[in-house]
Order: sequence, then C-alpha cells, then structure tokens
Amino acid sequence: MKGMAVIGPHEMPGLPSQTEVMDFNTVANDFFNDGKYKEAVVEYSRALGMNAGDVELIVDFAPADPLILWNRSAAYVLLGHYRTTSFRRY
Amino acid sequence: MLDAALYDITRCAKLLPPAETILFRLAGIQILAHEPHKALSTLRRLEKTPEVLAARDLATLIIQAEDSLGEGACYNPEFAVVAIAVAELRIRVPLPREWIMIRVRAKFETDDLKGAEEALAQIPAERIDAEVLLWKGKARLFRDRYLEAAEIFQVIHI
Repeated sequence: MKGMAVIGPHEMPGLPSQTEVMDFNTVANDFFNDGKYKEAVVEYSRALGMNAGDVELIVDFAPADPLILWNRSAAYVLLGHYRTTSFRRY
Repeated sequence: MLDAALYDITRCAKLLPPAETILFRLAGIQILAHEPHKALSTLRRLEKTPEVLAARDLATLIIQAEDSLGEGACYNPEFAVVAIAVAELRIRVPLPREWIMIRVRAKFETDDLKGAEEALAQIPAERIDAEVLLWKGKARLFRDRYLEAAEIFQVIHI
C-alpha cells in the first residue's frame, strides 16, 4: 500500500473535477431557468459524471451531489410535460 | 422520464438526512409515477399539513380506484370513473398513463365504450404500447367496427 495516493471523490478517473462539476451545474441551471429542460438534464448528467438517460448504469459508489440529483429530477419531471407542477430547482 | 426522476430523487433522499421538502418531492414523483402505495408510506413520515393530507387523499383515491376494478367486494367501476375524474381535477397536469388505463377499464366495465375510446385517445403517441393497442382494438370491436379492430390487432400481432 506504500506510495498509494488517497484521492478525493472528484479526482476519480473519468469523473469531472470539482471545477467542472460547478461549471456544468451553472450551465444546467441556466438552461433550467430558460425552460430548456432537455439541455439541463444533459448538463446535470455531465456534472454527475454520466450521460443523460444512463440511469441504469449509475454506479452507487460514484460521488453524487444530492443537489444536482434534486435539480435533475425536477428537470426530468418538467421535461415530461408536467409543467404546471411546482417543481423548482434549488 | 418519471422513472429517471424517481431514481434521482430517491438517491437524493438517501444521501441527505430526512427532510420534509425532499420527502414531499419524493412522494409527489411517486404519485406521478403511479406508485401510490409507496407515496402513502412516504407521506406518512411527514407532518399532517394541508398539502400532505391532500397528497395522501390523492394517493388513497388512486388505490381505491384500482381496487374497485378488481373482482369481489370492492367491485365498483362507477366509483373508479368518478375517482379518476376527481384525481384529474386535483392533479392539474396530464394524467399518468396508468390512471388513464384505470379510466379505460372502468369505462369498459360500465359499457361506456365511447368514453373508453376518448380516454385511450388521451395517451400520448410515445406511450402507446401493445396493451393500449389491445384496448383500442377491443373498443372498436365492441362498437362493431370490425375492420378497424382487425387492423389494430394485426399491428399487435406483427
């Protein structure tokens, strides 16, 4: 084990860095506010380090920001034409 | 979409300590995704605010509507028709496919074939599957529109 570096959740290979997560999230929030839920889902998914619609492929050990999951769930609901509900992002 | 939303919100609820807002959102999506029993158990964990009580009523209504189409003591298709109409007024969003199917089955049971066809027409194209086509075919068949019914059944067969 000697010499092995301990890596943070956002340093895992293939996953976005903390800065990238924040960038993707900001872009996603802008799309969400403009009512572009499909684009928002894509960007939130990027922030979570996965492709949109990859729900079945999610690995549970992958770090996930609950706030992004919350926002993406709202985007999914609104994308399904449930537009009169009070689903807001945080 | 609702499956994906449900997955995300469930995962979110697991990651965060239980909070009213998260659980209420989770219950809302469970209702829309036609998981009324799960929604009820989520709602039971919340304080009895007017919103929570209204959501509990809605979930209970859907459960009762489904039960009233089953055989036995609960059988009461007229109730199912009314229950879905009430649910539609309360939810103020497009009805989940499963609720439309409850309405279709209830309309059939009450011999309102035209009503059943109208309900089937509410289902968006992307959510039409073999089950929907089967009911559409049956509605045509029972209204003596044999050629149209045959065409629909042929599509299912292919």
